[in-house]
Amino acid sequence: MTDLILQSLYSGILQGGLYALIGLGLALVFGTMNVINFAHGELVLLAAYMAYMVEAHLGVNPIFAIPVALVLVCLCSALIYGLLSLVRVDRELNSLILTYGVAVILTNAILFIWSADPHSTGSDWLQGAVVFGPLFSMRGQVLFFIVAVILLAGLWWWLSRSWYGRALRAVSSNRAAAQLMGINPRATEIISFLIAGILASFAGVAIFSYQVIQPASGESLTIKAFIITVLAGMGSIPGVLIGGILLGLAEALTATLGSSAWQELVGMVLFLLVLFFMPNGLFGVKARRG
Amino acid sequence: MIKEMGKLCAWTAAAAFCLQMGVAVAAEIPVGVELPLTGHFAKQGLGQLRGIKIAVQAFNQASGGKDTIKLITIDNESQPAKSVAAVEKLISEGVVAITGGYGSNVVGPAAQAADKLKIPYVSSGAIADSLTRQGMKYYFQILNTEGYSVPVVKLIDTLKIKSVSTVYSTAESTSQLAKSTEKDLAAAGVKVMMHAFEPSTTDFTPIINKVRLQDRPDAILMVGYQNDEIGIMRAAKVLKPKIKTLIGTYEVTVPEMVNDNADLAQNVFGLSLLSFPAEFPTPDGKVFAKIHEDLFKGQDFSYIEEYGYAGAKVLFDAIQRVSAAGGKPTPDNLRAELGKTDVDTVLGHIRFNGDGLNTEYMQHIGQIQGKKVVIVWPDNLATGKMVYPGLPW
Amino acid sequence: MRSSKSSALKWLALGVVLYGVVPWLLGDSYVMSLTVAAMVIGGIALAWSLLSNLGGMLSFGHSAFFGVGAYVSALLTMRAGVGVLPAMLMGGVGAVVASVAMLPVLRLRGVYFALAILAYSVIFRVLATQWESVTGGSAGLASIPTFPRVLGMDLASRRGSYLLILTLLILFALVYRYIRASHYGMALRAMHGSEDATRVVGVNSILLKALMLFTSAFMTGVIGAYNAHEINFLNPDYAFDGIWVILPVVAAIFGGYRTITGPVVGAVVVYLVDQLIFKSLIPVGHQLILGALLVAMIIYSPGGLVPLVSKKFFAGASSPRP
Repeated sequence: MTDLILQSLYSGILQGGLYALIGLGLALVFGTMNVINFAHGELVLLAAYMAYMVEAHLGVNPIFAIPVALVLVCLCSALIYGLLSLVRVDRELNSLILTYGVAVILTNAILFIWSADPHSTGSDWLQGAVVFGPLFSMRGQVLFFIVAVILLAGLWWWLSRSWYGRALRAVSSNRAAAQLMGINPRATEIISFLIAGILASFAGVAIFSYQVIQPASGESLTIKAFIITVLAGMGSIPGVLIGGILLGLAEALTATLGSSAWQELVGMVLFLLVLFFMPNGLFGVKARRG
Repeated sequence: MIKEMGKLCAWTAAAAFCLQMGVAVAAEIPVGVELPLTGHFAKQGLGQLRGIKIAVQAFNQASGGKDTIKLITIDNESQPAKSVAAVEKLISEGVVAITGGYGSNVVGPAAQAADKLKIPYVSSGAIADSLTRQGMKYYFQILNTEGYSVPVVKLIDTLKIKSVSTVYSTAESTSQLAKSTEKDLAAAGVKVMMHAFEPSTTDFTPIINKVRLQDRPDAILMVGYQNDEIGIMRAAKVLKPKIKTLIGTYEVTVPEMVNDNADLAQNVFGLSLLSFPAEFPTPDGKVFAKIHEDLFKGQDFSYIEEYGYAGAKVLFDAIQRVSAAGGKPTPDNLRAELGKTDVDTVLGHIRFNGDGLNTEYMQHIGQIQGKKVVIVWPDNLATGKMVYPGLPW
Repeated sequence: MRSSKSSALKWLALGVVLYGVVPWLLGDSYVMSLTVAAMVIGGIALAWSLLSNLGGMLSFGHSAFFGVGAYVSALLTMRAGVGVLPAMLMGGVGAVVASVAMLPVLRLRGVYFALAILAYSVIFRVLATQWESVTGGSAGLASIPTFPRVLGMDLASRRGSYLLILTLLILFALVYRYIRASHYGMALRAMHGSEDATRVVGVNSILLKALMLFTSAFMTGVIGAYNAHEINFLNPDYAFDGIWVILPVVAAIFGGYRTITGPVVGAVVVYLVDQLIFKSLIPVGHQLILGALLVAMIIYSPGGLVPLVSKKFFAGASSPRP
């Protein structure tokens, strides 16, 4: 039984790292612009399809798709920002609906280009087993967990040390004051979108390397990203990692101790519980009541 | 406010009226096809359509120009509501019968709609027997549930497997298949441990680990669709449970699996009608293969094409019999002729019982060996021997 | 001020068109089926707009109410022998009960509420799949009873079901109008200005918001029940499908979600155009155009098409009230 639980915890943590990577991009944009990019999941999915294309047409390990994904996804991310900046009236509400529309466009574009067939990697290297005692995982899982932690740590360091990082935090805290201090809010906003794009690219390639992708996956990725954003609370990157891991653990433990059939429900219930009892998330500071 | 609403309504109504007038039907025999060409079941729907087109070609060639079938195809987008609308539209365009349909829950409402309007519907992609027990007089079904569960149970019996862990998706047809095999296996004295998972599951490590540490079965039975089975096989390859074999169900022993994931699926069993490379020992199979080559050169054969072909063939045969007797095909004489169907097809023997169900339908068991799919059961159709015990690692 | 006589005449003419001309024109055709389906979307869009306009709450999970209403009504008619029309009302009540479970999230703002509702929709779907003994599990329910004959009219026919949903929509629109014009409506509008201020004056904002949630849930539940008896089939994936979220939102935004008729008109236009034109242009992925439409509308005319058209052609004829 201990072996079972240990494996469950291990799987949950690895999966959580991926979730954190997916959620961070959304959380960053939400923190800076107060906008939920409903198309974030689609950006991740786009990167995953790039990985598929690289593997299918060039016959190489999908990891080499990362540069390609970076270019495409960051471009899309910037485009979304461009569209958002055209919204004048009722910013919060209309931004949400606009990104929702973009998500519909992207999902259907993916469907149109690649059809509904599910795809996953055939790479033996990525699927190879990595065993630590009683703990089993795929090489791709471990690799991208490490990548996720590095990216999260890197971003955290950058946000707290660099000038741009502090500008970003200033803008999310008080846009008008930041402007008065000489910070160009638009520049920081577009930077946060580009960083979100970078994170989404890595997350997408990660997903392709050990999971199965299909056009419908985009929406559930966005929802998971949002759940993690809420769990983390505003303005906390370590919170995003913990939130992601919490979600991963909840799913793995449900599958192990109960039935995998309840997995999705557990994630939602966790989300709702946090909303009820800790509306500021686990580590956040900003008020959430409207 | 009223004005512009009224105008909008009027324009929309006028446009709709013009559009519904439709195209005048030619003097050939119009047959309706409603299939999922987009949405969740797009791949299957498109495959079925290819099969139906092969049957059309076969009919037109055999009749030598006397009669031709004209297909009218409508996409139901994998949705029940749209399949009902599709059926109604087809009937309004004067089809004598309808064939196609994939997915029992999408076909059900469509079949009822056709039955209400007394038009024969021959489904080639619905499995649930319950559809034929709803009192519909004009509905005929090529496939049945037992055709999928019996081969699995027979395989487990042949291999003398005593304990099985069934990992199944909670989607409709997979959970039905899992439960009916559980019942049959338990009745035969086999120990069955059941593990359900949501279709959206991507990480199967927790479940397979449970199987490895707690169940310790002789075999793992995977009841899911292709992406589920790939996920399960991956987890199994990492965890290496001490089992003797992996048995899959849908979409495992297919050409794509051999091409993309042969290493992952070595020695895995699955439900299969076709070996790979495909061989067609029966006369009807040869007809099917030849026209497939003509129409869809270079494309791999798939079982789903055989479904579409068989359903359409049975319908067209009925049309041919009506014609041969000197009459014109009408819904009622077609229904009578369909009831008399008793024919060998590439899908096996087809004969409808009183409820319109083809009770003779039976899948075969295939196994991935090397870069091929070998049919290993039933013995009279086998193209190779079973490998057991055998695992992908 | 327009004379009330000519206004009444215009409403009468519209009534004749909707109740007489349209069924005569379309009969039992395919386009009639599409129109009925479009009106189902329109009903949800109306309820959705009510919640967002009067309740100030954006929802991305109205499929929750739709599905619950559908299941409650279907099960009552199949297991408890309740008549179809009363069962539909009970379906609405069931959706209201479901919305009670959402009261804790009422105090959350904007985006959080929207996605919390979505979470509920997922939860209901999983429950419907797992609670097999009651809901039939993932296989769902088949042969759900259809509409009865009322006053000699067979409501199960295409024409009949059209008239039924038309009547439902008109009733809902009238209720919406009544609430908006009442002092509740005024209070709600004041609330959007400043919730703190209204609380000071003594308006119980939470209660009002809850009432709007219940109303929106009831309407959507009845529409969901209608659909179940129309299609005669239900399963968890269909009942709680994302399509019951996407299409009403697009319809409402397109038609103008700040107006009462906008969402319904938007639904009919968008759905018919999508099914009759877009689908033949891009068979796979034609909803792409809907997404593009949504984006374009939000940027150029966030008020929707109906106000845009009325501004351009009927200057002053109608103004969307906030």
